[in-house]
Amino acid sequence: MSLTVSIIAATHVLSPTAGYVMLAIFGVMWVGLGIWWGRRATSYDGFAVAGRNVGMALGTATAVATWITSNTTMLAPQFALQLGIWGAVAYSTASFGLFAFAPMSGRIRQLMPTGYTAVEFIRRRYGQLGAVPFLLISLFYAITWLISMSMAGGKLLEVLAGIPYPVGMTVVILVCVLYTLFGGMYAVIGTDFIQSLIILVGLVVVAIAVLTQVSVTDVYEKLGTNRPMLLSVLFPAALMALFNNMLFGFGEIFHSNVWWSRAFAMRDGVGPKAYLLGGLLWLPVPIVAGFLGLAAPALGIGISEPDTVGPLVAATLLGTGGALLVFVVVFCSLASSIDSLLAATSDLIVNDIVEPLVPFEVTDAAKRRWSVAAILFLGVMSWSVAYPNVGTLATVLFFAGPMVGSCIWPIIGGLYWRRASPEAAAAAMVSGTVFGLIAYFAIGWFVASLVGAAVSGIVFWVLLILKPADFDFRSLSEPEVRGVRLAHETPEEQREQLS
Amino acid sequence: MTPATAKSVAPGNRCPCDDVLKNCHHGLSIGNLRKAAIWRCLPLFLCMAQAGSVCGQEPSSPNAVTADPVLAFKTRDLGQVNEGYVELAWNEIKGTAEYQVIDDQDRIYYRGPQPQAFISGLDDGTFRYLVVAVDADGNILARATEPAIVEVAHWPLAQALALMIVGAIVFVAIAVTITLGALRSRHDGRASRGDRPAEEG
Repeated sequence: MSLTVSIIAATHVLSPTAGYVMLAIFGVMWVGLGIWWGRRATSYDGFAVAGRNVGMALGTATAVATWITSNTTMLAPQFALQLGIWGAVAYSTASFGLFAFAPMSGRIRQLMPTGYTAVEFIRRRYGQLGAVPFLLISLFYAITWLISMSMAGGKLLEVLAGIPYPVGMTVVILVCVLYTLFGGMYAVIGTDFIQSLIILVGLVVVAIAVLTQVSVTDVYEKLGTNRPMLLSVLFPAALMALFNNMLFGFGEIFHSNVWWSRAFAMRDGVGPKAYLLGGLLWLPVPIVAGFLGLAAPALGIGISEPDTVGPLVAATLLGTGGALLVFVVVFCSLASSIDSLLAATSDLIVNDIVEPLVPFEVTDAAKRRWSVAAILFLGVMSWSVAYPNVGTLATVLFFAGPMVGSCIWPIIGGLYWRRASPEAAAAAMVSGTVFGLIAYFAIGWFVASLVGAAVSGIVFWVLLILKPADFDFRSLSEPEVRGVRLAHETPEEQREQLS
Repeated sequence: MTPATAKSVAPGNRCPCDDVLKNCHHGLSIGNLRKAAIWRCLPLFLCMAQAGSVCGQEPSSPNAVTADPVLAFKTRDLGQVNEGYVELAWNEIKGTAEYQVIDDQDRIYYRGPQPQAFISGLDDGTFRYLVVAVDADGNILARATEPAIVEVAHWPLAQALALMIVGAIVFVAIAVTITLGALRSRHDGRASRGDRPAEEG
């Protein structure tokens, strides 16, 4: 990674001065808007779940903005460059995760009208047996994603504008921490709205501009000569990646508190429509971004690092104006995801780690203070780990594929089946993770989530039959009782046991 | 600029520091050293300190010419890959404006200032690549004399299709489960005016 940063710095497409100006303008704007929107975040409910009153427009925008991460602008073109047309299609299947989560968000809101986190659901649904592996997977995913996004921020700003990696990375984290700190979920969703508009408009402009300069026929012919497999329908690795990426997306969205916190924040009945519309708006983005990856070889643009192909092609084709546009889109996509991760992961720390450990009732004001401390902790930790710019850390995120894939069935089963038991959930998560990681090393990253989801599904179904539970869903809408509750116990039974 | 115009590099004029240079990924600039793991470059400094006098000496033969820069791939034998893409890397040559990676049919696969190339979309077969360093005026500064070789053998199609079918089955099972669960949830919610969620086994 150090090598990459040092060599790509010489090829940036925007002057450092322009980059610093843009960084300053948008940094000040996000922090200002965050403070403005966050003035209502006086209670913990306001800070963590925006008062549970987010409407359709903001709900849709936050789904789109959060799912258009720096991964979308970097990894979607990389998928196309590595795996061809199937790669772009595979990446776009991540939108199916939003479609699938749409009805689930309604169910979540219905079951837990006062809930805060995904781990809270798993803990109350499956007890500690399910909560422990789920919490570990959630934290691993959230923290590695946060760090990799911070690193991506520094790296992209260096590629695009020659801003030194430590400076770009620090500014991105600082800006996101500041406005999330002041405004919590209000600020996150508010800035997401503007960021999603900028991202979508920017991508449409880039797509139109690129298509006017690049002949699709020319790209097809040149790829057919030099890179035939990129056009092949029977590209083995790409075929394996198709459903793997879809299931990775399912796992990411189903398990991550980033999405659950939004489900809790949206007004009753809004979630299903907002996630569905968000998925529809997101669907074409990887196709557009993927075309940039396919165009690179045909245009003779030398690619050294595949994850920088999208921004490089767009900026090279569109000149300074295009570079400015790409810079803004990339900065918005980074900020919209990092702020969401900061807010959602701080909720996990407060609600699922700190609160269960303290032996007294926690006040609203205390949780609000702990959230601030948790966001600061996450910001400092991300900065500290991202600063040395060790490239292998970013690849660790790919380990999360089988982990999150193994959470799919425990979550679906937990939401819809009373017979889903803690044993089934825990065994599914552990076995799916183990076999998925084996597949990761034995075959490749493009099968890890698929194997993880398939193995965990089989284990979950078998244990559903062999060791069923009889869960009462009504208990989820009641106030949580401290202590470990067995899955088959009602809250009343647990209170009796505790007394 | 075609590779045919490249200057020849005398193999005998190879500095012993080159091997160390190839292993030290950060070159010699201050900016790069700042980001580098210093200990990895330590052998280079030791090499310079100890062998510098040797490297800096004129060749013992009075007819020998000044050493041309040596351009070489960091890894020549890239082995077998199953996904059709490969990364090539080579040592930096001072004054280079552009590197070009070409195959044995003179097709250009990479043009750019970085000493690293990503090549994808390769079909089954054995591929040989050479790299050329070109300055801003189009003069060839150096070219690799030994090709980087990669053998591409894609995963068996039967394995890929089998995993694809497994993925499709998992996807359909998830979609059906969520759809039925949502429908039942809605039905039960209506039946009890929203206060009794679904209870399906």
